[in-house]
Amino acid sequence: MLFLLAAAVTIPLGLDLYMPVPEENPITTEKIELGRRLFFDRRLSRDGSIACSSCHDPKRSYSDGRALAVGVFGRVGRRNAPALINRGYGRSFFWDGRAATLEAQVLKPIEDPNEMDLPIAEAAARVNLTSQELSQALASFVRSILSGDAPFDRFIQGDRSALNSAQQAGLQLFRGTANCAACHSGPNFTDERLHNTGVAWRDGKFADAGAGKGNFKTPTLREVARTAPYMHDGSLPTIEDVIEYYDRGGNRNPALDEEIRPLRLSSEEKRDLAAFLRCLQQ
Amino acid sequence: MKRILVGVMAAMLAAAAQNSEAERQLKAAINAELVNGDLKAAIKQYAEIAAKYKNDRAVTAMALVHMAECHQKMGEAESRQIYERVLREYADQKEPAAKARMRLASLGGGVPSHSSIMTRQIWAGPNVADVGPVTADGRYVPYTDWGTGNIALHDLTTGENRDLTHKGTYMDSSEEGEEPVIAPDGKHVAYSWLGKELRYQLRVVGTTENAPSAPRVLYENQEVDWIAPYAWSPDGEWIAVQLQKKDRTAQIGLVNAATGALRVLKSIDWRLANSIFYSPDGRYLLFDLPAGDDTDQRDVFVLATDGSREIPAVMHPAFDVAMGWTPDGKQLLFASNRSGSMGVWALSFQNGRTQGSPVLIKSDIGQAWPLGVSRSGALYFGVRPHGQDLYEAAIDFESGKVISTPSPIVEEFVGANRTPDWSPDGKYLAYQSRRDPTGNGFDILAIRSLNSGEVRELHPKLSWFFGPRWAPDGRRIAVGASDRKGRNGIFTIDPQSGDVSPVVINQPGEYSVLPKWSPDGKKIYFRRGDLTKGQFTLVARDLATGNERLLLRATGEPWPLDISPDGRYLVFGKPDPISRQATLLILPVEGGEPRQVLQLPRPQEFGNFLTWTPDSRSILFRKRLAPTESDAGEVWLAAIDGSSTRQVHLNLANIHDIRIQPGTGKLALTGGIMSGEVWVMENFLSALTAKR
Repeated sequence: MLFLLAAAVTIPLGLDLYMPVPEENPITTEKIELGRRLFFDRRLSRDGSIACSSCHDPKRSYSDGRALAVGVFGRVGRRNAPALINRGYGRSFFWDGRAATLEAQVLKPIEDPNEMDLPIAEAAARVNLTSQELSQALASFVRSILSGDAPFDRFIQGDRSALNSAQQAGLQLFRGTANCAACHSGPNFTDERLHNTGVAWRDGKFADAGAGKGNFKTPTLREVARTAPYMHDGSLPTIEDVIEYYDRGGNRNPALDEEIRPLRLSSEEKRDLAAFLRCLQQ
Repeated sequence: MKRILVGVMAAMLAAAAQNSEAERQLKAAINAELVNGDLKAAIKQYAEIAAKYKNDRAVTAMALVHMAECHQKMGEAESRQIYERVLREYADQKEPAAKARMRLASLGGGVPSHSSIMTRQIWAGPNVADVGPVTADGRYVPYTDWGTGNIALHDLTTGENRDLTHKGTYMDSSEEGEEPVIAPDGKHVAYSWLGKELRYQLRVVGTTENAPSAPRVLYENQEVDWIAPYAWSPDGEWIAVQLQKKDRTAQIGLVNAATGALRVLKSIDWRLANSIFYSPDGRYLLFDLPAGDDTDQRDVFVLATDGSREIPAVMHPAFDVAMGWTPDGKQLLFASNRSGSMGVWALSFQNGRTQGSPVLIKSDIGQAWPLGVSRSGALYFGVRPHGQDLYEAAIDFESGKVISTPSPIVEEFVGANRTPDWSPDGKYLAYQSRRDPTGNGFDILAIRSLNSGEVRELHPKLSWFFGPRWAPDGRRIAVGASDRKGRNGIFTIDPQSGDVSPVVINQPGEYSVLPKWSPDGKKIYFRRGDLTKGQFTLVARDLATGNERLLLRATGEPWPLDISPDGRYLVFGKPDPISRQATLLILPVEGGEPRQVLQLPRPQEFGNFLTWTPDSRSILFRKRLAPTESDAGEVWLAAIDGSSTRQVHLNLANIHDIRIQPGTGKLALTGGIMSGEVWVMENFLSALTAKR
């Protein structure tokens, strides 16, 4: 279950009480509601066919189930639409981390020719807002999309029955042998940093350099069972595929992150790890 | 003419002889002060030198400065007068005069612009290591008695100490209290407790002398590896804590002092705050964090206790750490090395915002850690224990007789150097040197060339490391360490580049320490602790394959550990499971039954090191005579066939390591009296007002 905050922020179990919010854009009920409406408003795309929610579907934990995002006029983007979960805690945005704030991030897809393809001034005019009001409302709404209080969170709080034995074994692997926690760390299961996991390395070169040298930002694993397919290019259809990918040590390349190495997990360990990942949602 | 020349030469020779005698006596006095730690004897010797060799101004000035330093260490006021005398009478003596000027400045009153600030030392000694913030009335500080592991209370007025926990000694139990923080009403102390299962709990104990209370577990969670209190809210309802979870990331939170409920305020990755202070109105926490993974820079933040906002208060390329709040909550205090040395700075904080620029209150406070501000506006701070250094000496490995007594090896960063190890060719000495401006954090790895005296400093990307051991091929140095993502284990450091490689990464609940190389460099032997089972193992790891072999499983903690030079045996200390006496055991590297070499009568223990002699026939070890932090210990030499056990009179207190130089058999030692200090800075508020 996702927590859509309609009033003062209520933080679900497992997340920090403090969420960084810019002083110039304090969260208000009105802004969240306005942002929610804008999020579903197709007027923000050139041909009126696409809203933010087209690629960030609440039913799919704000992802879209496709490998690559599809924008106006059927234009296919370069990357997978990331799940918008707990982004209020983010420190940089987009797969390549190029936006420093949510306020900056939320406007980019509107302008992007492969996504909504509309100049910001025109988009703002269509909904009778200034660009700043548009950005602040959308950012406030995104901050209200929170996921916590998962079985994992209850387990961490001391409810030892919240995870079954396979999930507990998976948690041990996640933090230990499988080395997932080297990057998927903290309450939001991301270090918010850029890493080369080798996914972009194809035929001896980077198919997408990301933030440079094949680096992409660590995505959250909250709600991960609902956000397939995976990786920046959506190239891995299932959680099991992702585990297999990391188990073999990723695609070797000159800039591969030092944390990526063959894991040699047994079949049972892979199953346990997948079971654990599936408990990161309500 | 010839007679005159002869007379002049005779006078010169006599003067030279006197000079060398003065210098010899000065050296002996310095030895009494620094090596033996006998400050009273040293003061007497310095006074005699100053009286006897008045004409030797250099020696006399230096003797006076040392004498003043001894008085200062003992908390005696004479130090000021002697420093002033040096400046008055020996201003031409550059080095002693500079030292006196610096010391006077640190005492306060010597710097005209800060003339109203009074800084004085109020407690010093070997136990002054893990001291918590002062009570609001400035009378008490809680601390950890590292001799026993108990939490205790020190009365700054009377100098009396009183145990608040009663766990016995480390021979009785390995449990220990850490990071004590006293409540605003002074009636309770919160602390971190490392239990028998090697898991941390947050506990609270009463301080009322006539109504002792049993410690209460306030917070315990199997998913939390470590938790420690940092500050009580002014109303005593909440305790600000820092904790580390099993994924090794850390959080700052509040624990309810009545219910133990945890409210997580902020996750802080793999970083840790040095200190956290509640604002006087209870609305904010002041703390510091490293600016990133690969920097030693720290910045200071203010976080609302309701989680509503965070204010980056001090963002600067320098090393900045939180020191506390002024009693009115209108200034936040921090220590910074932005002026070249650590000083105390103040920054206005009003209406939830910082205002203006920081103002320097006092420079040159040394490697200080903050102990808070009293109600009256006095700032308290500690200076980490220092005094350990590297020495070289020689002994006869047959008889244990001392051939040459310890003399200092390293002249730089005096008091901050430890854990030496010789390179396999004996040409270099690697050692740790503490460089953190608060004395609480990072070490560098120094590589000293014995031929040139040149020292190369390596800054390995590790959050801490300990006990460097040079590989037999000289190309790696193994350490027990934690990387900057909080992963503990055994790592190697390249002695040329400082690059770090993991060898053993602990799984959750494990820790691995004391790496020892096999003579062929193909294996590392080490001790692994399993926190979940309270069990210890000795393990051999093949570096090529990563395969491990279990050599010994033990319930008691094997410590210390060494491998024989011929590579056939491990030696380790361990408490006997029945008698609980400290027992020295040797174990074939293939495994099997360990054989007892000797046993120490209670309460004696093995301390810090075991070192095999080059012929693999005897073992040097430190014997702790009593479970107190002030115990200086003794060095003994035991033949492994049990034929002899002899004390080695090295005449150096507190020897922590002995490493033997390949080829020459010369010893490198860590030793010296460790002493921490607590200081108070009074009247800084009026000086600050005047400055503003």
